[in-house]
Amino acid sequence: MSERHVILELKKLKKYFPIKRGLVVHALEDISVSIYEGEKFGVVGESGCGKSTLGRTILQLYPPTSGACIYYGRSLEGVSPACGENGIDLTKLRPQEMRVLRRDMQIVFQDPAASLDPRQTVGSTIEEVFKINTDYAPSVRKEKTLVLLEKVGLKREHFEYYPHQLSGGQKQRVGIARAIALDPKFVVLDESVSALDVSIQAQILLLLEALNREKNLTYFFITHDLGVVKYFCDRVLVMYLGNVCELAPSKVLFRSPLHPYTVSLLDAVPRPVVHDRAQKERILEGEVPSAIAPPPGCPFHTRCPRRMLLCSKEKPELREIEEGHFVACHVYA
Amino acid sequence: MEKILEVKDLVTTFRIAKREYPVLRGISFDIHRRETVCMVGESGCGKSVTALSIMDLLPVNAHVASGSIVLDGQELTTLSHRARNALRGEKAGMIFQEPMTALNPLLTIGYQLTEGLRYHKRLDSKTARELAVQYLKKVGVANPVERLKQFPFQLSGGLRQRIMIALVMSLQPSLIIADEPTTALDVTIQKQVLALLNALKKDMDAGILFITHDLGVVAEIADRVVVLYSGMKVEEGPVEAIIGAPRHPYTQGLLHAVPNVDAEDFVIQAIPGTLPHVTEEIRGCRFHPRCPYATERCRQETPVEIEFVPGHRVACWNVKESAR
Repeated sequence: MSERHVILELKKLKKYFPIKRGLVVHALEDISVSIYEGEKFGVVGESGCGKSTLGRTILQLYPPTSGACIYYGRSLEGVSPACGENGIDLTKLRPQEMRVLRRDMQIVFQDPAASLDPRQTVGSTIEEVFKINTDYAPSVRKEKTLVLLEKVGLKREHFEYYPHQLSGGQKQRVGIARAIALDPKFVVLDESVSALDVSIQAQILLLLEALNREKNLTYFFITHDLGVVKYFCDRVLVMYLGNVCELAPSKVLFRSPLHPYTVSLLDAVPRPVVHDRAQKERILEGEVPSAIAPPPGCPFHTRCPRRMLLCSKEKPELREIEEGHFVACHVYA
Repeated sequence: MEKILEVKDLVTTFRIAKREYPVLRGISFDIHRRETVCMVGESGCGKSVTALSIMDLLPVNAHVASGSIVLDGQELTTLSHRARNALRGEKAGMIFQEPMTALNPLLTIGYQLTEGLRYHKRLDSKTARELAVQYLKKVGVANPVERLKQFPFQLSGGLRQRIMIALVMSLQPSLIIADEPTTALDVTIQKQVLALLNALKKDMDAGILFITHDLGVVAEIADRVVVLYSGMKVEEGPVEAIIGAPRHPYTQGLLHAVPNVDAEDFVIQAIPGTLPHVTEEIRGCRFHPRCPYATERCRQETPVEIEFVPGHRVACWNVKESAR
């Protein structure tokens, strides 16, 4: 890879959700990571680890509790770029300023049926994006929409269709068309292929890959499917209970995972290969603790097969073990 | 081995806009005692409808139009709903995908676990509770006596699924149908539940019909595999053959479409097109519009199933005569 530009930098991003009686859900704990332009950045972890919260907090759909989210994709007039070269701290923007930036930063959701209006045609759903954000004439809007439909592998006829007339894969294509309509730079894909059948999932992954190559799009790809991440992503962030466990280039992470949680997670993926079931397997015991009262020390120590005395006392820092390979674990300190 | 379930030429139709459409188009398969048969395929292929046909839990607009289902030597399709109701749970138990919706949120775990024992086995509450505690221990639930007093919402997804398994097992049915029982669970919890099912199998007499779309799960749990596509059985065989050397282009396509965590340079291959809708009539093989090997014959005639090695059957014109 040639010189890489950081497009988004998260600095100690924290998100707590207050619930009843002074209780707080610790959804994100001091997440610091840089994402490069044009990269397919994967985020994995089990349900409740905070991966979706992270995606939404980056887009300021949830206001962060503390920390910064610095975007380097464009300069914004009238906003003082107080965070270094052309960087904008999204957490400091007023809503109307953020709205301008939303053209650059889009999201595709998991359930394509729930994210489309059942009473709106495909054409009008996509055209609406132009209506709100541009001053294109109606004929131009329509033409742009038709071009987009073809770009995502739909037909021009689909302009008049309603969501219920489309299959799941086709609906997700509409979701993608809507997200890329304004030529964004950064797209959050929140389990965007998880609800699709495998044969369709593969089609959508191929489409996303083509768009990434063509437009140098940056993806923030949230999923629980490790096979998909390995295949699709350049770098992968592994999360557990709101914390970063490990961050590494995809190839490195899958070849030599370091964090005991990453190892257990990879072990747990059922492989479609013939194997001897009598063989003794390592099975991760227990369940994810509550994010309302996270355990002290390392969040994973309650289930960790390699825990030491230190692990229940002190939280491990994220350290760079080899170039580009970060891990938060006392075993590697 | 003794056959516990024999399904033959099963046709189940759905009434849509005053017309009957077949969702299952003549499916046949057997399950033996102590055997796990996995049924795989994508959504809409008829996996769940097969399960619901066996359990007599089809929606009101659906019914078994023809074919036979023999469970433990008894023909089910000719029985009344009332008679089938009495068999459900006792002869054939079912584990659903979402343990939250399968358990009643208003009743304690104890009530739900003992209900079947009291109704089918006519046990008094005390004996039923003791038995329930035993089964909770068997499925690895800690503090079983405490759990009996709890409600489903107080338990995690993995725990709820263990309770569903205990509930079904406690009645010692001949057949257990598990419809995507681990799909809603996280992978580390899924691994625990699959290991549990494999361990329990050893001291169970039942046959298991395990429905899943995940070929990794199949490799973990199946003895034999039935592959469905659009209401048809396209391939059937021992797990080693289906995962290791599949013959039907659809089964092969499924394996190539799933990114493999172990492969160094995996090339993903999408199956082009989409699954046909149930109302869509397709001449010839129902897979031919998406099949890379389709020939004129595939477009004209429905393939006849052949058993080209004992136990491995495939319905595809391109599996050559020489292999037959």
